[in-house]
This record gives sequence, structure tokens and C-alpha cells, in this order.
Amino acid sequence: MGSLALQRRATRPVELTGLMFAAALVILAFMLLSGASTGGIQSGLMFRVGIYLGAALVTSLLLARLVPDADQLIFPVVVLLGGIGLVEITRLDPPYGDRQLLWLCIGDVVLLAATVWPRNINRLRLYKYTWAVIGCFLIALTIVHGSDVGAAGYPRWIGFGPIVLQPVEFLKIFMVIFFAAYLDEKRELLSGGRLEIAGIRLPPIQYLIPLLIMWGLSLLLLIRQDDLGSALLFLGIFLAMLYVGTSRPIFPALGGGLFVLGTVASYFLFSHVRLRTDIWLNPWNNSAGYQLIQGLFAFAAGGIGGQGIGLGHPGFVPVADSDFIWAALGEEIGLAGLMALLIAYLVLVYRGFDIAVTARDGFQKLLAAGLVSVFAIQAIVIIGGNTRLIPLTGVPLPFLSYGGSSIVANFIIIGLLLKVSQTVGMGRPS
Amino acid sequence: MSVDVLLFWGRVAFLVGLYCFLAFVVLALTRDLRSRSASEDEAAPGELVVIDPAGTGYRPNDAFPLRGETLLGRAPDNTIALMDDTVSGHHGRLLYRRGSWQVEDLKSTNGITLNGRKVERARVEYGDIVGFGSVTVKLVK
Repeated sequence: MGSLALQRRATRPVELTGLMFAAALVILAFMLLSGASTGGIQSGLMFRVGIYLGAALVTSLLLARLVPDADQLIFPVVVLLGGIGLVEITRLDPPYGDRQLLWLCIGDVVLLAATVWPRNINRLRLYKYTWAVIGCFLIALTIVHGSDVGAAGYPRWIGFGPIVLQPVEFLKIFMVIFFAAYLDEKRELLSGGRLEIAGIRLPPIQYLIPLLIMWGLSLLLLIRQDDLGSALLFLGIFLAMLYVGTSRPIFPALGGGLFVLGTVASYFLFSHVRLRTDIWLNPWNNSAGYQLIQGLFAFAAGGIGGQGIGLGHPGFVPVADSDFIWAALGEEIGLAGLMALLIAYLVLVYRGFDIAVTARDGFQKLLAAGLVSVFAIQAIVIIGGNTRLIPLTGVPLPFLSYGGSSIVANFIIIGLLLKVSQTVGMGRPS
Repeated sequence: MSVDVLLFWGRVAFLVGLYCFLAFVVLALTRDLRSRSASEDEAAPGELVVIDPAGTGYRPNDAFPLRGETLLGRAPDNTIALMDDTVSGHHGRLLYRRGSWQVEDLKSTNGITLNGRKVERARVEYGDIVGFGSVTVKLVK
């Protein structure tokens, strides 16, 4: 019986090799931090990295049982990003580091859970309106009943006893599932289109209503919650999925244009939007530009090779462990390190779209494309904000930033992506 | 060696290691891509050139590569999606079997034509014009 079980057990050699590689890098990073702070190896830090990597290894072994044919490259990249984030957060604020470690371990559990349930991923589409309603309920609850734990200036958190969650993080998953199901159903109607306005073929007007609702919702987020990051994220996901579903470039063009119009109008109408833009254009003239300027100094101090993990002074940047983790890392691992991390995100996003292209079913294609757009857009918004490419808005950087809700939500997304890749056997050895 | 020297080389090793990890991942990606594309186009010579795009949004002379079994229709899971009102969800397929191409109607509403004649299943030569609903394409080598 033992040998039979051994024969049946699938192995994931590429994932295991990648995981060993990532583990070596994370251990080295922790050793550097430990050497920089005390000149020796601290057993406490090594214990923490042991827990993190042990949990990742167990997860990988369980994945081989649960989804043997799923993609093998995504998980090692996630473990590397999560590990580097963990090092930097532990370095900035040890108690937060411990909490992040706990969240990462919970993340591994929810990742496994997402590959087990639902057994058939297409069942998610059956409950599409349920997801949409839960999502809208979460937003409404936050606006009416939320608290302002992270001092963002607006309520974005909801407390459940000792646990405080950021509902927006989970909302993005519900929205992607809903859009995927809705667009797959209405795809033909949306891409057909006979209505012509000014030489542009538009779909029947009733199918444009969801587009307009999304536009309104994202502007509401922007104005009511001063949450440009989430507004951009939701609209971006929606337009990306609309384009994937219909292959009509007119939709992203139209939606993007509407959003630009909306933001220009709110610049003139609302003072906090104006302040944000002014900080972006000229942080030096503005007392509120302090954080951004400290971030820029951090990048400059890091230079090409970085000061070394534990050797810079990223603590001078306000909120360095979440919104400004990119600047903190810039100071410690330098441009060379940041570029490597950027490539890691690129690999993740590329692989996600590869899964979308290979998926056989329209719903799964849209689901994979939408989920991976979440990572891509979040990375663009916050890295662009840190480096003063676009106005700064606080969204977490996937896997690197501190934040329980964001870590858990992102691991659910990874679990769903692995599940979709399992159905086409992406990770099967050829 | 002093701690500072060790830390310096540790830092260098970390950065080099990061890029080695990425090289490993990218190599695995390309190997995977290559093996998949090799298994997909096993000896299926020829391509489809659009003659009349109807409502699909393609342009005349757009060319599509073919697979050993190429599915055509309006649904997204087809090899070549033809988004026209006269094309059924899974309209038909082209098969490459023993050195020649065949076209087969998959019970579509508006049927398949071969050089203007309605067919259920027929052999297709290079240069023949095949119609799926009001969309017509030409098989070329």
C-alpha cells in the first residue's frame, strides 16, 4: 500500500526547486538583517524565518496532493516577495513583523482552502449576484460604520472583535468573480453592437449601464472616501476585463476618458482632491508633502546597490511598512534590488495572463485575467505613487506591504489562479 | 574577516542571488512555452485568410495559424473566434488528418459552405473558400 501511495503521489519538482532558491534568499536576507543589528546571528530572527519557510514548504507539499497539475512558478515568486516584505517589516517594526508572519501563515491556509473549495471553479459563477451584493454591502458598511484605524482620514476599516479588516481588499475578489460571470454571459451582446454614435459602434445602451455604474462607484470612492487608489483599482480591473471579454478597445478608451473627465471635475470641485494633486506636482511647497519627500530621499540614499538590509534609515519615512515599503526597500536594497522585485511582479502577471490565455472556458479566462490585473494595477498605483509618477494614494503593494486583509485577500487570489491553471494542467511536466 | 566585510559580501550575494532566482524562473517559463507550442502545432500546415469578415471586426487578408484540430465559432473557447451574428457558438471545425484538411459542420444554424456549396463534411484543398455563416475564409498553404 505504501508503494502504491508513493506512485500516485504527484511531485512538483520545479516549484520545489524554486522554493529552495527563494528560501535561501529569504534566509540570507534575515542573516544580513541580524548581522547588521547585532553583528551576529540572532536565534529569534532565525526562528521566525524558519516558521515562514516551513509553512511555505508544507503548503507546497499539500499543493502537490490537492492540485498536482497547477502552475509551479507562481508560488515560489510569492514566497520570495512575502519573505522580503517580512524582512523589511521586521526590520522597521518587530511587533508588526510578528503579526505579518502570522498573516502570511494564515495566507498559506486560505490559499490551500481556495484550491479545495469550490471543487469546480465554475460553481462560483452560479452565485454571481450574491458576490456583487456582498461586495456592495461591504462598501456601504464601511462608509456608514467603519472606523479609521490606520489614520487615513476616512473610515476604511471594520472591526470584528480583536480583528480589524479592510473590506475593500476582499471586495476586489468579489467584484472580479461577478464581472467574470456577467461579462461571460453578456459577451456576445456587448461585442455585437449596432448602435452608432459619431461613427463609433456601441453596444445596446442597456448593456452600458454596468459600465456607467462602475464609473459612478469609482468616483464615489474617490470623493467620499478620498480613496483614489481603490477607485483606480476597481475601474482598472473592470475595463481590463471588459477588454479581455469583448476585444473592443473602445471600452477601455471610453471608460478611461470618462474617469479622466471625472477626476478633472473633482479637482475643481473638492479641496482634498486638489490638495493631493498639488502635493504630487510640488511636494516641496506643501507641508503635506513631507511623506513623499522623505520617500524620495530614501530612494536617493539607497542609490544603485542600496545601504544594505538593516543599515539604512527607512524609519524616517512615515508609514514605511505599508504604503511606503517600496521606498524603504529602495533605501536598503537599492535600485538593483527594486528592479529584481519589479521583474518578479512582471513574471507573476505574465504567468497569470498565460493562465487566462490557456484556460478553456470563458468564465475562467476572464476570472484569471481579472485577478491578475488586481496585482498589476495595485503595483502600478503604489509604486507610481512612491516614485512620484502619479499622485500618491495608499494601496498596499501585493505581498510586500504590511496588512492582514491585503495578505489574506492576495493569497486567496493566488489560490484561485492555481485552481484555474489546474483545470488546464499548466504545471504538468511535458 | 570583520562583520562589515561579511555584510558587504552578503549584500552582493543577495542581489546576485535575486537575479539568479529570476533567471531560473524565466528559463522555466520559456521552456514551458516552447514545449507547449511544440505540442500544439504538430504538423498542421497552412493558415486561414479572411475574405469576407462580415461582423467579426477582422479585416480582409487577416491570417490565422491552424492547429491539427481548429475550432471555429462565436464562443470564446474556439481556436478562432468569429464574432458575427450569423455564426453559431461552436460552428464547425477544420481537421488535419493523414495529409489533408477536412471541414466539419458542428450542427450550426447557418451551415458551412465550401466554394459556395453547402456541406456537412468535406475535404478542403488549398485555395478553397470556406464560409461560416456570412464569414468567408480561404485555406492557404
